[in-house]
Amino acid sequence: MSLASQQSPAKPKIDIQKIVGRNGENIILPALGLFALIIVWSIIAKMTEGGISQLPSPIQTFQDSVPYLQNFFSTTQGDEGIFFLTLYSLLRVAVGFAIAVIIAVPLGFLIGTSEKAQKMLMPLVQIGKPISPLAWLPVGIVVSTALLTDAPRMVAQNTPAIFVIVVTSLWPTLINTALGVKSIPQDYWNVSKVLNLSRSKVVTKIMIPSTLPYVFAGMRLSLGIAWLVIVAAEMLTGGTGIGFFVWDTYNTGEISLVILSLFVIGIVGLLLDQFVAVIEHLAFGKNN
Amino acid sequence: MQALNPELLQSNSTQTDAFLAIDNVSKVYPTPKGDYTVLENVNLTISEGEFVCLIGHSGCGKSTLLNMVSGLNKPTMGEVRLKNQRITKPGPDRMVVFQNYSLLPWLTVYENVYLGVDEVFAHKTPQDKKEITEEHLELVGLTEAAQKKPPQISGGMKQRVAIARALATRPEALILDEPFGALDPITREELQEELLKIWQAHKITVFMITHDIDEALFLSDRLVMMTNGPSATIGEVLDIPFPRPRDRRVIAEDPRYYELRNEALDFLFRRFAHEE
Repeated sequence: MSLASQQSPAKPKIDIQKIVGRNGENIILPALGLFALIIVWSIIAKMTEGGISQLPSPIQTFQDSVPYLQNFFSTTQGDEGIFFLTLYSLLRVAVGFAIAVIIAVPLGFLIGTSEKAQKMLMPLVQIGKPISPLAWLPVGIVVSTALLTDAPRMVAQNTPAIFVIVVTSLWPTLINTALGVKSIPQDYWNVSKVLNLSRSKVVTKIMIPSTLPYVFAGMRLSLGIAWLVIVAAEMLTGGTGIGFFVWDTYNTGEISLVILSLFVIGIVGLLLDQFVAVIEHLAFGKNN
Repeated sequence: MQALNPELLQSNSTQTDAFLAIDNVSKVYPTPKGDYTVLENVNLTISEGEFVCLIGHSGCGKSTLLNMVSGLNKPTMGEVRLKNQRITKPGPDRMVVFQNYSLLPWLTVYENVYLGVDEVFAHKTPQDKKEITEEHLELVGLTEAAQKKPPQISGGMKQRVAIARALATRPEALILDEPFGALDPITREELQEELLKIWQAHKITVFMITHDIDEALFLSDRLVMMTNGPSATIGEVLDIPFPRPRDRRVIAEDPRYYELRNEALDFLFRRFAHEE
């Protein structure tokens, strides 16, 4: 106490809240963070100046990006605007994620409820989980080439990347669903036994509502990783998508556009996470 | 341990027309270190319409015994019978009120009660089932809270819902596992009195675990006291002779109240004091 009172008059205290108000702090501090990033970026850009490969400065990046951003909604084949490139990636993630959820949730319930299913499948899950999803890409390409020879080009082209997203999204949702089922309190099972509830009521009135928060947590993790992986997968498969764009612009030396797409990828990832959070809130809002 | 009060146990277990009979029940759990006997040779008979309280130190197997009556657990030896039918699984004739309420938090108060009604009276019309649910919510004074969810109501109200849920399926026996243990003293007394009213109106048989000697003396016809585990069994059964309907204040002035209370205290804290 005495120590604090001795020190405080010596240090002039800068109270940001007093100057700009409570919300002002929420704007100024993030702006300061961004400013620090730009400074570091500028310094590194300065250091690479004149070398064989150069990192464009923030200003350079902005100047190079403006014309491209004016082309935002372009649908020209081979020269799609960044909006459509992102949309392609999002569609692949959406399809792969949806397939994964359709597989993972029932399997998770099975593993959570049946001791035998758990013994049979958990070793596979434990081995499958640590495999980098990208390592599945060759398998995806081989299988889709073999099976989809007569399929439309559109389907055959997208299958390997979607396959990788399915594998990526599978594990967190599967594991969390199984955990959710296992975490149903014994009290609820006792209630279901005492009330002699039918199998369908046990599932709809006890198991699903009790497990849902876990399923959502798993889905949120899955979607986050899927967005990380689609960029890498598209860098390898090529064709379209924001990941392809990163690799393509790198190869043509348009580093400013690489940096632009990094920002786009980050912002889209953030929005995806917020989107699931909103759905989660809507789903559980009425339960509380 | 079986030698304790042999005449009392004998007189009870010889009744053949017992409503609920716990017949020579033992419960043994196998462990890596060998068998662990929780309960050994438990004998008790309960008449129809009787209110029996069970008291004992924690870990003595009270809940295990209760679960064998509700059918959630099975005896290793011996059997439990309701009206001469061996109990092997839970059934709508025996409803349980758990200590921690065990309501489903995503369903409303009404839906929690309706869930059991819908299952047990599957053949009835939705209108009938609705009436049964509403009738039992009214019985415990929760008509107004029907559309609320468990997280929005107090502990006392939650336990009222649990009682309504149990009674709504019209069981013959009501089994309560320390139902009022988590409630504040005033709410506890209120609910004790409501439980007595319901018991008298429904002519239901009640088997209830409690930790509270005064609660047992106020509520029960007989107080069953258990010895400590392992191999716990019934040590002594006290008959509670106070006339009904009971008034807490009148009972408190009865000299027998203190004799019984001292007897129970002596059993629990001197003869079978908990080691820990």
